Parts: sequence; structure tokens; C-alpha cells
Amino acid sequence: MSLSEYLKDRFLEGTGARLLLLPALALIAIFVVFPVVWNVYVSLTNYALTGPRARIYGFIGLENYIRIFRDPSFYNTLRVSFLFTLFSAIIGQAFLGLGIALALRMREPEGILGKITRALKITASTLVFVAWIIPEVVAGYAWSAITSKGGLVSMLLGVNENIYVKYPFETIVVANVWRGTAFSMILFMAALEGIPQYIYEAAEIDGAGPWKRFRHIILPLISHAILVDFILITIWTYGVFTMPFMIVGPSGQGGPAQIWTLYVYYNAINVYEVAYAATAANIMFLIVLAMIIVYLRVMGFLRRWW
Amino acid sequence: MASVRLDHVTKIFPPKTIAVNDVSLEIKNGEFFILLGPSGCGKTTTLRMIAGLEKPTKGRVYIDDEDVTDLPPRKRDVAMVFQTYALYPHMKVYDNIAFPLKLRNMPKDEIDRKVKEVAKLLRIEELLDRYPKQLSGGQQQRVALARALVRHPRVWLMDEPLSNLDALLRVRMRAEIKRLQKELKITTIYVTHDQVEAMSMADRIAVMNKGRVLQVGSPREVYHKPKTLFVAGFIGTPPMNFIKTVFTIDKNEYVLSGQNFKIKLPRQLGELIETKKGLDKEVILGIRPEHIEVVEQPIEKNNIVEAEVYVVEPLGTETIINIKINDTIVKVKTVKEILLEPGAKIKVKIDPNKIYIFDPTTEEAII
Repeated sequence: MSLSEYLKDRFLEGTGARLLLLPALALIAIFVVFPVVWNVYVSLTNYALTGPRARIYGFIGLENYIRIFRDPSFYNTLRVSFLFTLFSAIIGQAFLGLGIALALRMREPEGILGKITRALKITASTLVFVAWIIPEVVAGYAWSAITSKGGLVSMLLGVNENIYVKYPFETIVVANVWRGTAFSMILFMAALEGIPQYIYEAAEIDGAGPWKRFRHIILPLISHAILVDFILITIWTYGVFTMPFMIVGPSGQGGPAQIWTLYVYYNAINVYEVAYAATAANIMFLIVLAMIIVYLRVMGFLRRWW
Repeated sequence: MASVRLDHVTKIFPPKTIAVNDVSLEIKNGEFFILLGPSGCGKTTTLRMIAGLEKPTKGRVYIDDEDVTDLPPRKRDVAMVFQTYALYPHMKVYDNIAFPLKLRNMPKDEIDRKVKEVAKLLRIEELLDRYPKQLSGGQQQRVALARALVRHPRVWLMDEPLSNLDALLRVRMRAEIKRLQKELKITTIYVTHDQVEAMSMADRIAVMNKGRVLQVGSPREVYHKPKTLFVAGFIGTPPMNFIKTVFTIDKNEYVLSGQNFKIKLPRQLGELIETKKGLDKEVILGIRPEHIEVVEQPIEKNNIVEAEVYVVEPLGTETIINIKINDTIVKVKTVKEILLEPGAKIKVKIDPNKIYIFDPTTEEAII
């Protein structure tokens, strides 16, 4: 090895390698770290989007935080966000996803019935996938169209009104279930695939009917997948913005469908209170952070046990 | 304890793979019955139809004269040991064994008593607190046997339970399973492709090939009186040798005539072949390796075949000599210590009282 080659090697191992990381680190700093830090700073000021406080603003300490904890609409947002996550992620996506995954694994009977079952399976899984891969804005627009007055849903329900106005919370829950079920379905399909066929057969011979097989064999064996699914979809659903925004808009202060992302949007864009919105975002950031810590803890725990 | 009967059972996997073709069997109460055949012969599918894991396309399955064809596995009261053991990975050994009893809502103290009893029988008492992944293959196998035994099923089904074990353990477990079966007198249907296993364990063997049962009989019967070329070639280690010959009369005596040898047949045997097959016909001569003898200085001229040594396989107590008779490789088993080099010319003697004769077209045994 010549001297120049040796030097090149050393360079790539040490300083050089670090230099190569710089562009990526710079991008992360600009687009991830800086907004978080800036957001914390803004929440401690009285900065606004327009008006005099947009040009001249000052440090006001924890005033925004004190104000937000006295704001009933903030508590409404916490409650709506919690219920939205509970119904659309845990109850909707996870349970429906598991149900579809189990149904797709069902043995097909012989003959014409088997062909129908197979066709149904393919149709169902395709629809679920399509819901997942359509661009969010398109999906949101489609949902607002079918839930508007004279749209498909209002016709089916026989309600001659804008469904997304009359039932805004229910609408965004159903839309989000529709959109997100595919992830849970795929996760559970993979988990079920991991259970060898002979385990089911052994349970069948040991005397377990369908429910007992599910309860004693399937459920314990996919429990880790269920946990991972719960945590991931909770975090994701918690941060959903585009579809609900497309369907119900910022949803008015204290509205029944005002999840926290819409609350932040409303305060920053509709009433120009950027600093206040930043405060709300910071609190939500802490909640998500707590969830991620729980997630990582649970994962570590599972890795030790499985 | 029960008897099992298959009545013209056929299984076709769509579109048209015929896995089991018109199989009728009758397994007696308390019998150790083995389904033996090469892989893909339909033996496992047959077993799975008895278990209820597959539904026959045609035919009926009876346990104790009760038609169980349409019953799901859990209503048949059979137990099965899988090739992969199929232990529940999330349950401790104790719970694995107790699972079938729990499903039957048995009281806790009775479950405990039964689990401990069967654990003692299989000598796995000290493993009850472990998870399956903490066990060796042999231990897992015992747990699988315990789980199948604990509820005293009507029929015990085993699908190649020993094939995942190493050779030494396999021989030991073979004896153990046989002892258990004899002790408990549970009707047992056992699938294997290993003819040594079948010979050493079974009360009766059904030899299968291509979805059909070719012969059913005791190990002695299928060994000594194979009905077809396939059965003869499948049972015995090393397998039976087959040599093409012509059955004819030479100098007023019945002979099997090969390219450069003649085997004189006893009068009675010759007459039998003549009535069954006729004279001057091509037949296949079957002879087991242990019934060919290497002779250094032949005293008589009859039944001596000249051959060339092809390869020698010493196995310790015995030696397998592969010889070439014309273009056919023939295996000879001998316990004598013979030093032979490949290519050496030797003479072997075929015992005419130990031969089998097969029809080359139907592949069925003539005698």
C-alpha cells in the first residue's frame, strides 16, 4: 500500500467519513431539529401571524402555557384526539385488520363455494390496499364528496344533509379506519403466517374448536404483533392531519371533531395566534414522546422474552 | 381403544393429483399398524384422513364402526404425534400436556394427577417447567408423545415421529414407543418411509406406493412373501436384487437361464412356474443379498454365477459386496471377512430355494 493510499484510507475512516455525513446532518438540523427548537422558543413569546405582534413580539415566559391549561377548547381537543385515536386506531383499524387477516387465512371449501370465497378474499384485500395507497388528499376529497349532501353516504342513510357537518367526528373516524386498516391487516397477516400450520392442526386434534384455537393458540402467539400494532397505529393516528382537514376543515374552536392537529392549525392560521398554536404543538409533542418511550420500552421487553 | 376401517377411500387434491387411490384397510383393536412407503406415496394423506385433517374425496372412514368421515378432528377422539412435534411454543411443557385435558374442562387436580402420571411414564418429570425451545429434539418428542397419551385417545396416530431425531436416539425411541404401545394397548397407526422402523415395530404393515396399498401383512409376511416387485425391492437392507432371466427347460430340468449362467430349479418349483406362467418366458429373478454366497472353490457346478467385483462396502459386522453380473449390479451381504479388490473375478452361488420370481409386465410375484 502506497503512502497516498494509506492516507486516503485513514481519511475515509476518520475525519473524511464524518465529513460525508455532514450534508445529511445539515438537512436533519434544518428541517427537524431547528423547527422543534424554534417551536419551543415561539411558544414562550407572543408572536402572531399578522398584525403588530407579527413584527414586534417579545418574550412572555410561560404565559401561553398558563392560558392553554385554562382553555376549555384545549381540553375538548385532548378528549377528541383521545377518542379519535381509540375508535379509529385501536378499535377500528386494529380489530378490523385482525378480522380481515383471520378471514383471509380461512380454509376455502371445495367446489363453487371455494371459488366464491377466493374471489371475495382477493376483492377484500385489494380494496383495503387501494385505500392505503391512494394519495391522502385525493382520499380526503373523495370522503368529503361522498359524505356531502346528496352524496353516496347521505343517500344510503336517507339523511338529506351534509353528513360531515352533522356527524363530523364519526365521519373522520370511519374515514381513518378505512384508510389505515391495511397496515394492521398486513402486520397481522405476517404474524399469522409465522404460526406453522401444524400448530393449528395439533390444537384441532387436541380438541380445540375455532374459538378456543383463537383464544389459546393464535392470540398468545401474535400478542407481540398486536402490541407493536397498537403502539404504531396509536402514534400515527395521533398525528393524522390531511384527511380530517380535507373532510371537516379546521372544525371550529371547541368543535366535536377538532383533533389536536386541527386545533393547532386553527389557532395558527385561522386566528393568527402562532405562539399559542406552538404551545399546543409542544404539549402534543411531549405526549407523543411519552408514547414513543413506552413503545421502545415495550419492544425491549418483548425482545428479551420472545 | 378402537378399531379403524377405511372403506374405498380416495383423496384427490385439485385439480387432479390423486394422493390416495381407493384404499381399504382394517386396523384391529390394539394393533400397531404401520403405513410404509416412499415419500409421496399417500401414507401421510391417509393418516390425515383418519385424523380428520383431510376430507376424503370418496369413501368412508370408520372408528369403532362409527362413520366419522364428516366429523371434525376434535370429535373423533384421536391423538396425533407430528413429525415436527407441533408443541405449543408459548406454553410450558406442563401446559402443553395439560392442554387437551383443559379443553375438556377436567378439574384441576385431576389434570395435575394425569399430567404427572404421563410425565413419569415418559421420564420427563423434571422438564415440566420448561418451554419447548429449551428442550432437545428427543425431549420435545417425548413431550409430544405425552400430550398424545394423556387423554387416553381411541386411536394414536403418528406421522414419522422419529425422522427428526439423530440415528442413535431414533433406535432408542423406536423401542420405547413399541414398549409404550404394548403396555397401553392403544390402537396405533404409524406412518414411516423407513422400512427398518416398520419391520421392527409393527404388528402389521401396509406397503403403499403411488396412492395405492400394495400389500398388507405382518413384517414376516411382507418380507418373506412380497406380492409385487415394488414391495420386494422396498423392504430389506440392502434391497432385493433383480436379474432378468428366461424360464426354460434344459436337459430335462427346469432352469432360469441368464446371459452366462443357469440356475437349476427344484422340480416342484419349476412345475409351479410352468403352470402359472408357461415355458420359455422372460421372468425376473429376485434374490436377497444375504442369499447369495461368495464361493472360492465351488464343489458343484450348479447355480454358480461368474461375476466381477464392483465395489466393497465394509459395515463392521457384515460386508456388502457389489458385484457385476453381466451389466446388472448385484449386492451380496456376507458376514465372512473377505478381502476383495474391485475388478476381481469371483464366483457366487445363488440358493434356488430362496429365490423369488416376478412377472416382468405385471410386476407381480409368480412364486
